[in-house]
Amino acid sequence: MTAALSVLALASILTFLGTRINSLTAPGPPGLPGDTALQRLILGGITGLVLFHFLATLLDLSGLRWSVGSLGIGLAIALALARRFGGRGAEGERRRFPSDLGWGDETALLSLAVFALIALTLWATTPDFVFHWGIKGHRFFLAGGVDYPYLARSGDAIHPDYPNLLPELYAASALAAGRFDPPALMLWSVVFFALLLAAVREALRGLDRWERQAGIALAAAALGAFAIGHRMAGGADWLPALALAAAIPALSRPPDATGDLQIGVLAALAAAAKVEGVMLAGLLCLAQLVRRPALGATLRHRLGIGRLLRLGTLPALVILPWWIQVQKYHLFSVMSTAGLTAERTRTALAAVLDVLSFSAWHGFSYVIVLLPLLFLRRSTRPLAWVLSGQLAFYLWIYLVSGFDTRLYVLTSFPRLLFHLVPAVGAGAMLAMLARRRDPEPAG
Amino acid sequence: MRQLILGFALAWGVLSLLRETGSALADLDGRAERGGDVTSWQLGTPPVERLDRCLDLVRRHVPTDRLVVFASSPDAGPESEFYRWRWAAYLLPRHDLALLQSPMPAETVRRAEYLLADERTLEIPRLEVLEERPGCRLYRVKTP
Repeated sequence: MTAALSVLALASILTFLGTRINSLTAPGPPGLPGDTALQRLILGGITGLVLFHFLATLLDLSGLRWSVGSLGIGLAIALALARRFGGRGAEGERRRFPSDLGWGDETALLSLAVFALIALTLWATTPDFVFHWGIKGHRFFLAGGVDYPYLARSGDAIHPDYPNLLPELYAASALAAGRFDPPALMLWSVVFFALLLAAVREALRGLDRWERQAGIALAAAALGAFAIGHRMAGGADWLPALALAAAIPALSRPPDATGDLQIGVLAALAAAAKVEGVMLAGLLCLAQLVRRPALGATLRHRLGIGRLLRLGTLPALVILPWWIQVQKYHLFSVMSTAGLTAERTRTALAAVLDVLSFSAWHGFSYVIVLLPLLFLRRSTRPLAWVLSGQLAFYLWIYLVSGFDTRLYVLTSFPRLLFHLVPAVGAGAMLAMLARRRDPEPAG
Repeated sequence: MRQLILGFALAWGVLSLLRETGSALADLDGRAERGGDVTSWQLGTPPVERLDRCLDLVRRHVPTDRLVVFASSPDAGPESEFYRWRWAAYLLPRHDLALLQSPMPAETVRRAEYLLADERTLEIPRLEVLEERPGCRLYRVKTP
């Protein structure tokens, strides 16, 4: 019970910290609604996770051992800094949580509760919790920091080169509880699922009420079924999925200062979560950067230093220390590469088709074929580019990898699809069903 | 028409969730009888608990941070040995665990002081039995 409370308390503290940064949320242009309180909560939760990763990294780099004291003092300082420099928020909007809850939201809560109950029994725990996320978290808990010598000694079996946000959260929760308690740690996946469903809800704001409720319920049921059937609890695949779904509002409107900052935070989250998240971070930043800003259409405005700083600072603060440590301890896994051949391409594509029919997806993986629809509408086009780039990246790795191609696709692609399906589904609904006209780019 | 398609997808989604939930709960009920291949092991199942009891020998005799070589039955193939080793590493986070292989890396040979054999009998003159349990034996590696 103490361990579960530790997870929930840490998640709440991080969300509270993140929501203190008011400049992360858009007040909205005149006549149009800005970010809702729920969107602030989502972005606040994500920002809290990113700030926690910075804190853990900072302690590591300065040689200070993680403990309840060092992490607590660090979070207190971060909170003070956020209050001092976090910008002023729109006071009137702050308390407006959703008052239009409907049957779709209730279905989502039910799906979340079912997943939570099964996750707590460890029956939905991913094997990757045993093979790397969990063992890393436990070692970091015992070592009081990221145990780089251990990662270097362990070889490829535990993916030593992966970014460490999730094991850091596990270690910090264990430090707060005084012990490493796997069932309680599954609550992190429940928190991520809740944030993901909330992000889908926010992404579907442009739909009619019935369609929006149906979309929320559909996402909750389909993702819940997959998360239970394919055992997703305890893994990090929630985080790239969350980064993509939460990016939809910012990518759907013309770029502005707040949107740049939001995409920067989401890119940082993706990069801190998984190696493939580093690619996703690059795509998110690129999609935001190349678009014409709401204010000013000149190249100077588009590639201004302010924009680059807002977009790139947080991802750079995640990626650079990770890269340095990976190089310092020689952690990069040996990626067996081979040339592109017709036979490997045929094998990979056949395996990809098999994965689309994978039983735990119940056919919802086929939502990926709706991706071209997102190019039809101006507001969903940036999202379409990001999703296409990330999908192409996954497929390219399969095509050039020297591993057993079929086995590689069958064992990883069902999870990688999980990154894309929520955002493709929400984007396709927006592209086909949204009634509101796309906002015209300014300038 | 749009509502019909969405409604159908939603009904299918809810049915899928119910099916996966029912299947997970049924499997959970049968957790105590679950065995089988190491690739389908799950936390809290008998094979994992049996391995955990075997690892108690290491917890009892081997100081933390020492390198222990792990050997399991080669009958089920190298993949099975690999996954058993990874499960053992998860269950034994205070120790470094190396997989018995041929040839052993020189650094592992230099550091290894103990060997745990799970469902495997090893007849190597340099190994001295420290303690054994049914199907499980901890050896000390004698210095030459």
